[in-house]
Amino acid sequence: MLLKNRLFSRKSSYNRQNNDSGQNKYEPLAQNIEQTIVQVETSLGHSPDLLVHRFLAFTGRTECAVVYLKSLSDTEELNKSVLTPLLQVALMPKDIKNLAKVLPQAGSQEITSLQELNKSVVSGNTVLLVSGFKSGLKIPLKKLEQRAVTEPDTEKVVRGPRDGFVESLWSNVGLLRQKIKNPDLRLEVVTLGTRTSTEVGIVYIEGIANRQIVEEVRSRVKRINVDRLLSSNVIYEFVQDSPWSPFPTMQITERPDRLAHYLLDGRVGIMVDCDPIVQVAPVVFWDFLKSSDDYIENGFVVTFVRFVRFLGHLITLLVPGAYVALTTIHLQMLPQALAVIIAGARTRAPFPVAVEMIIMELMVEILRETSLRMPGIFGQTMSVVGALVIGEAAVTAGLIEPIIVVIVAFTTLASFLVPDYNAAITVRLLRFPLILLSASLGFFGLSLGAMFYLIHLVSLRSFGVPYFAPVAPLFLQDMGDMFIRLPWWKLLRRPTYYRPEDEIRASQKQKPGPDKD
Amino acid sequence: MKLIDEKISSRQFTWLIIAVEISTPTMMMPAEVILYAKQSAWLAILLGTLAAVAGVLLNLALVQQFPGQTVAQYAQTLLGSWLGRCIGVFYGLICLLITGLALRAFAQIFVIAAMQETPLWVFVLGMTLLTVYTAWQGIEPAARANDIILPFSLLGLFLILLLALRQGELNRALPVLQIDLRKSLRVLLSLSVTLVKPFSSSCWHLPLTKRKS
Repeated sequence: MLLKNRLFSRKSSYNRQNNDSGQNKYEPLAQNIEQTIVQVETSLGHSPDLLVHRFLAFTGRTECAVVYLKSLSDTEELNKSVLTPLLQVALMPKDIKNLAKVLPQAGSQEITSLQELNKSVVSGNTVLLVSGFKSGLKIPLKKLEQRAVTEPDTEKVVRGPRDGFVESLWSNVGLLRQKIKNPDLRLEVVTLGTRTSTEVGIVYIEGIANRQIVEEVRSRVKRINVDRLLSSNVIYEFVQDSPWSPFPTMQITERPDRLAHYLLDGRVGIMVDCDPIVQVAPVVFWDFLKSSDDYIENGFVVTFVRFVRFLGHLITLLVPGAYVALTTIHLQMLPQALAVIIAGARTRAPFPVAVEMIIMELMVEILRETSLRMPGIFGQTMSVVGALVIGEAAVTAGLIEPIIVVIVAFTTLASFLVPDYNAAITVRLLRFPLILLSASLGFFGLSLGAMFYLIHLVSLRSFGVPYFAPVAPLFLQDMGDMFIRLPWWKLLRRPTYYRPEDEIRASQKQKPGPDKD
Repeated sequence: MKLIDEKISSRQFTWLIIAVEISTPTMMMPAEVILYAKQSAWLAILLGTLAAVAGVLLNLALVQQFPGQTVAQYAQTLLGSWLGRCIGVFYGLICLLITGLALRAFAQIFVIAAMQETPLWVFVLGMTLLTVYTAWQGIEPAARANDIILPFSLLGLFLILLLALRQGELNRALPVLQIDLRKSLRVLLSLSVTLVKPFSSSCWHLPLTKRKS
């Protein structure tokens, strides 16, 4: 009880502290611009990149000043479109709003409080102060360092568009609007992160996305109260449905064309300024087995590839466990020829199969992680050296039997068939409990583990949408784009499990061919 | 429509009943029926099914009289609070009984068929944990998991029956009509109770199915 009270009081004091530092306090600007400048300099801690330029405008009669951060502002643009016109205007306007009208710079806004002033300056705006007025003018002259639009490394396609999102929210919205030229594309921006003030955008298409789902996303995003928001994953962890599940219940993408597809299916995207990764909700399990290639390649090929991917998923999950179960407990189930080979290899092996399997699987995980962390060209070299030398040497030395190496290498390859990295890594994680269960209980353990896995998967929901839809619960009309992919002229409806407001995707009777009349 | 609607469709409910009916009785019943009814097993099964259907219809009629209520609730309306509660407890015990029987049968079969040296409780424990986890997740995940499992188990059952067909000897079924009334009645009773049990226990779940408006 005491502990609870203490925890509670700490929590409330944390909230108070947040509010104090925040935006709720209102302090009006002084008429004297020198006083305001001193106030701004104090609140920014006399930062060296805070520049104040004083000048006499309106034919040299009125004292003015611009306050800006040189690290974020475009000085050239400031000279051209703010200072030059101000020095030329002869008559002083009645108030700040009229002043904005004579400036050739769009997007200017009047600000009246010191807090607003501070906030505008640190977000890269230039603030114009005019002596005698109790307000300032916020002029957006931001100049940000930005990466060029390139193809994202994690979502490569064989053919298709090559653009990817960058680290700026507005550039990303621009990329998206290039794909969907529709006034119904809605963008709602929320500023989150009490210390970082990061802009978070919720995008969806009005009239397609389900209103309840949009409302749910909005309310969950607005509930977030955290000091920093430096990646979209923070948002994901705050808004996801089953926080203790290893399975991702939101999808991520870095490709504008993919996001456009998702939005047109009636889903909602969450974009974060300073992160190219967009979170998409709701999601179903099968979305992780689809790739954007699927809508570019031939339907027959895609159907086959999807089957292979699904098989890969099952292989990753079940084959190591099945091998352990077969060789340790159910030896009588093996065909004789295979049993002889395995027995021959096992006579030399010093460790039990389960131990060997876990050691080798761990080895592969180590190699995977090392090749990620190694700088540049080392990564590939070291992984080849590691895999070949360690694998080959371990077999030659008689530490590990060769069949284990074959199976581990095979399952590792199969695990990366799943196009979504997050989903792939989850499956890799879940092999280990299945190996242990199979080692102790044979196929009973394996199927028990698989059943737990299945029950867990079907119990998940992503923003109200059952995770295993459209297979369980069964939506027969959505099967055209699930295990098979029908041609575009056959995909007439949007996936109904996302509950779109408008289900029609294409009109009927568009089968290509010459006219028959 | 609510964002989350914790109900199952009547198709899912039907599939659940099918799954229970084909899994438990097919494991235990054939041997028992043949043991007592011998050649007139087919008749016993037929009569037993009829009796079971009567029981199902009785339960169904009651459920339709009291939409949205579980058996414990409407039994109290019908029979008064004290007796109604007893009926509720009785139905609860039936649930427990068929779960226990199915668990035991499953574990026994696994011990006989695959792992003779492993103690029974290992399998019982594993399956109990799985059952508890499923029950904890609710009726909806159970119905959804069944949507995936049932087609595969039906396929498996069909294949097994198909492969076993060659070993069947129709002559063993003769004489077709040799009725020992006392034994047949006994079989009939136990068979109909076995078949009707899953449905009675499902009276708890019926209020959770979606109603067509």
